[in-house]
Amino acid sequence: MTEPSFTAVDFEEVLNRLVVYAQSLSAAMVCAGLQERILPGGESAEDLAMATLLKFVDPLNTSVKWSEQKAEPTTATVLAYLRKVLERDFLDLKKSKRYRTTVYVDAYGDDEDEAGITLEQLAKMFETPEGEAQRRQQVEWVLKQFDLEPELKEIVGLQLDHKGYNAFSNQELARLLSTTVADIENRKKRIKLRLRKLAASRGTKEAEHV
Amino acid sequence: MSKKKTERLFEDIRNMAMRLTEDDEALTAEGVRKELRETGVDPDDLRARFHESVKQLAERERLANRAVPLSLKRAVDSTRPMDQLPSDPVAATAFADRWLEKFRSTFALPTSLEGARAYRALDDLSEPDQRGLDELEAELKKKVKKENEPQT
Repeated sequence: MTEPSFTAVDFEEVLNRLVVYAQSLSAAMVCAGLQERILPGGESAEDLAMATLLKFVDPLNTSVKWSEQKAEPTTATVLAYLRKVLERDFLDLKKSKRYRTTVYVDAYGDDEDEAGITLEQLAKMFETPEGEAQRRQQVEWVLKQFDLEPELKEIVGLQLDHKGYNAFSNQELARLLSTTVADIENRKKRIKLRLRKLAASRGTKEAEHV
Repeated sequence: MSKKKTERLFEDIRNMAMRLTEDDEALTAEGVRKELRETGVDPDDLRARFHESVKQLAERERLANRAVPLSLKRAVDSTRPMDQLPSDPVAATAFADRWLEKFRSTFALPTSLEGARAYRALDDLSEPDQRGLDELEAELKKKVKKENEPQT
């Protein structure tokens, strides 16, 4: 077996798309009502994406490698593979005891010096009726961030609802909200960017506190 | 038991992340760079940092008298600064193609492009949009001022 040539892989594009995916994972954490306390020098979306790609190209790191049995790699196939790796690393990182969550709900006010709880404790708590109520409050907190943009808020509400989001196609949403499909697509894009920014700004704010 | 609950929570997070990225695959490389800029990430700075890191890895391999793998070579070549063409002709051609593609993709217009007007005085703009426009204006003025400063 010969070594793959990697000529069809644009590493810059892979890196950029991995950062976007890492941002989405962080935004999803915020939507779930979680925000990790990032330690100074801790992993931002860029750090995590870069670490994943460096592991892939570092010959001394054998944990993430392109098997020679696989077809010649392309940008798309390498990206699909590394997204899985990044996702695994991201979730492992969040499970780590080093990272503790802060739950942002109105009842807690703006006092972010709460000690926080581990993700495992939080997952357990979500199974209780109190936890479910708290989760609803967290969804409300995210929705509150869209108070100034009601046209986005109505879609975010559906997006945060596990069943609701996939229940409506863009065409159905356009009909329900008396608008065009292009407008729905545009609103979804704005929501996505806002959530990613929200996740990034929360991370920065937290880093300043630690 | 607790492990299962954590996995379920993570599954929810994973699903939400998938929803947030479902349209990203259709984006061009330049579209992805634009999204990064909009979330405060400078893609040029990111590429430069990555390039430095992979260059160091390649250097480490050379100093240890080990062959630099093709994946690492390719990572170095495809993230070079625009003013450094790779010495290998094939890599140089691919590099130039990508460079040209950045210009071409900038002009790729969406199929459902619509014209719209919004006036601040008529309250057409939301507060975040107004803030965004003000920030862009301030940034532009700062850039113009910097470019016109006399060289010392």
